[in-house]
Amino acid sequence: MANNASRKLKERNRKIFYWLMISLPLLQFFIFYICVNINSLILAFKSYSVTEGESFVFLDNFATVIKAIFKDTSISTAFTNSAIVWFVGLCVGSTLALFFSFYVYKKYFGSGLFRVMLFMPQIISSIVLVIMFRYFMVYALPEFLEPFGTKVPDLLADPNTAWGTILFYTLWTGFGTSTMMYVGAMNNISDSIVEYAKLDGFTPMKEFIFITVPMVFPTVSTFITVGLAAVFTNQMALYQFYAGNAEPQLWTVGYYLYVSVQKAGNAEYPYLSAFGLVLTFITAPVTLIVKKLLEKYGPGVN
Amino acid sequence: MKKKLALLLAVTALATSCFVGCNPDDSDDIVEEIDATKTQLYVANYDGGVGSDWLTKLKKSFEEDYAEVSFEEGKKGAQLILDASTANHVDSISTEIYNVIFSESVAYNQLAASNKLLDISDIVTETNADGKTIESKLTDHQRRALTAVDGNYYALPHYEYYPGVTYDKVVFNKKQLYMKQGGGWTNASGKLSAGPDGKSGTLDDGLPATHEEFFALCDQMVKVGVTPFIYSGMYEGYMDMLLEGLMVSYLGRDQLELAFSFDSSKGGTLSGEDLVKAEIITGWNGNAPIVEEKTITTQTGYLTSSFAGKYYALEFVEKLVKNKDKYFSEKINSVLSHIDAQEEYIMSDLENEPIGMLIEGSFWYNEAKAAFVRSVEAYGEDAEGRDFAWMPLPTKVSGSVTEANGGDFYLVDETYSYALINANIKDDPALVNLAKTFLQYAYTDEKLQEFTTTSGCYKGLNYTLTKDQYDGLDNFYKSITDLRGDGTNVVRPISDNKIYINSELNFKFMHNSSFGSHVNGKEYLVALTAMKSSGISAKDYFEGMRVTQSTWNSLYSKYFN
Repeated sequence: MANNASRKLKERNRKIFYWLMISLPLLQFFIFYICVNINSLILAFKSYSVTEGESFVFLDNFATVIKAIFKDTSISTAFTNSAIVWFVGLCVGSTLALFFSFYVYKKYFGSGLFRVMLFMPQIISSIVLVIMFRYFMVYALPEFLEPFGTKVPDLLADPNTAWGTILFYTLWTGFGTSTMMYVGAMNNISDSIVEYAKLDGFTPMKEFIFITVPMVFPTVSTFITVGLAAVFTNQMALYQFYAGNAEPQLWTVGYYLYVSVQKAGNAEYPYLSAFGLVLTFITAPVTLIVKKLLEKYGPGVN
Repeated sequence: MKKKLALLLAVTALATSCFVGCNPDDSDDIVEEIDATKTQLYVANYDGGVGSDWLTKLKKSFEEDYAEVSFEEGKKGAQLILDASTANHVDSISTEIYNVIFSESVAYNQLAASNKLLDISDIVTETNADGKTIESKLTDHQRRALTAVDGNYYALPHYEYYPGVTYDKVVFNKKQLYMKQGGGWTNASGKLSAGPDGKSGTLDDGLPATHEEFFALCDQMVKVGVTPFIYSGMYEGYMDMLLEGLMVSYLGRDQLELAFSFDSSKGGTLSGEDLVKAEIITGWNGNAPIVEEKTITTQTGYLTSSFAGKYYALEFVEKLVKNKDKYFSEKINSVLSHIDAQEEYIMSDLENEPIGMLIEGSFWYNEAKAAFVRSVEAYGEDAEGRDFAWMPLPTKVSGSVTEANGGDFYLVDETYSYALINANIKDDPALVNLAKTFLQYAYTDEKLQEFTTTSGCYKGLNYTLTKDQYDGLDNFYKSITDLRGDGTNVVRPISDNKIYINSELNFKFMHNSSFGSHVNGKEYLVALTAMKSSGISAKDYFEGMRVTQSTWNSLYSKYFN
């Protein structure tokens, strides 16, 4: 009987502790996620004017957003750029990250150094990294290439060359996280499978294609899905390079939205809320479909 | 033991997260100890080009002068707790701990209309300690604009700065870069041309009066080994400051104000022939613009996007870009920040590689304090008492300006900087009283003058310095003071027009904002970048900036009546 009471008291104390610990994050989640998003949702259907105050405009803001997406070249350019960043990230970034990870996983020559170099951008402040990169592009690169007779212009000063340069920067700095994750997944591959493949005469390339990639595909699939979900929030480090003043030719949707919200006042928030919702309407179904397709048609372990 | 330790850590974490940021006294950037015997007023200042020394002085004198005054029961005196950083305290003003905020780039009308600012009409209209009302120091234009929302004042102009060009008078003198009357070049003591204002004996004598003369000056500079310009290559939008300066010089106050008021009648005070006319480009004869004079109303406000003065300014920059290797410093690249550009400019003459002009905002001189110190450390006496000056820009495009045929000189303020009281204290009468008393105190003539003598910058009100105060200024600030007068020479790009107050962010006259264009299916933010990287002409860039009547109607017809 006494044991029972003591257990109940312990259970009650455990629950009190649990709720004490969880209440603050829950409250924060409620205020800063649920309430903010509900407010944002309502805002999308409102209009605000200094002289007229607030009013409901129903779908007007959505119509303005759709019109802007198709008619405003800076916004359509931002959509194109976001798609390119995602596509290049998927094709080039993910592929190279897998190769790099395999190299590190197999502990080939210099793999430790390789791992540090790839992960370095993740531990250095992004602003510091951007400054270093800027200086490298303006001073170091031309010096390196001068002996070969190549004159390198100021690539970041010209929007025609800046976009490609920053895309390269984004890819380079993006390798760290995916490489770490892939290497982690690769390290979980059973040694017996690898040894069996060796006995079967698999070359490293064959091992990579037929064993490693299928075995880490759930991780790859997660990266693809998450990357797709974030396609319209990727700023491509433009803010670090140009603050709020990047030329419209360089914009991604993520950058456009971030800078617009930063510069906006009450009158602009409803349009931006509607913009965010339109993006959700586009990304959510596409992400879910891609996730299903990857699960269904991705390479199996068998 | 482990459980106890975990519990202790959890409680510590919880307690820390509960208390951090809740109490103003705990804020990281507030280090002053709270004096419980006094009433505290939290004051935030955007610590940009204008700095914060002026506020430290103001705090000291206010605390001393009000040491014996009680703002709440049981307490005597006031304690100002300052935040001087570049943090933005305006965007989330309702939840800010700061009671009085001095900030820039403020969307005044939106904030006022959303009840986030305290009504300060009483302190603006009542007689202040200097025997004047603050309202009397505002122009009619400012009064109308500041009360446009509902007839009340919700903020006061804080500091102002002007976009444009600084020139090095020592280099101009040494290298004989002043224009001689009747042609040729001379030093400062020669017989100088009348300058942009067409009046001899004024401070712009010997400076180029037309765009054509300006390029002659640039060529002369190159000839005598002076690089004409430097600007920040990292922020090419700074070149917009040259565009703005050229525009205001060419257009003058009345025309430029049309771009914000959309009213040639100036609120019904003008009619007939007196209506303000805008020079608008209505078409092209080959590459030459066809310019017509038009009156502007709310319905025809779109025409102000086609000011001839805007095209001429773009054409000016196009000419510079075409000769960029000759006219721009070779030090300009995408890592040269505005701070670097200022230092290069300061050092250039000392290093015998003189640069004639810097494209910047007038705040640069204050921002470059550390660079001036470094220059003195490196070059000693030669680097002391430098003679930089704000340059009156040309008022005409071609030919030359003859005596009494020039244009008046204007500066344009692009800061949108205000001093305001947070409305979240409205239910605390003691704090409201203290905040209003402080703001009123900060806007007496004496404190306005102190602001200028400390920071070198002016507040956006009409006031002048005493002779002693003027004599104590650096040469650069003297030149600004000479051009600014009592403040009536400053064009303020605000208005009380319904279109403007409802869409004030669309009409910001500011670098990186006002000169975007759409050319050949691409959007550009900065004209210089478009011209430099894509070879876009001034004409095409200008055409891409036009607002059509249908766009104007679709955006603003609801405000026509």
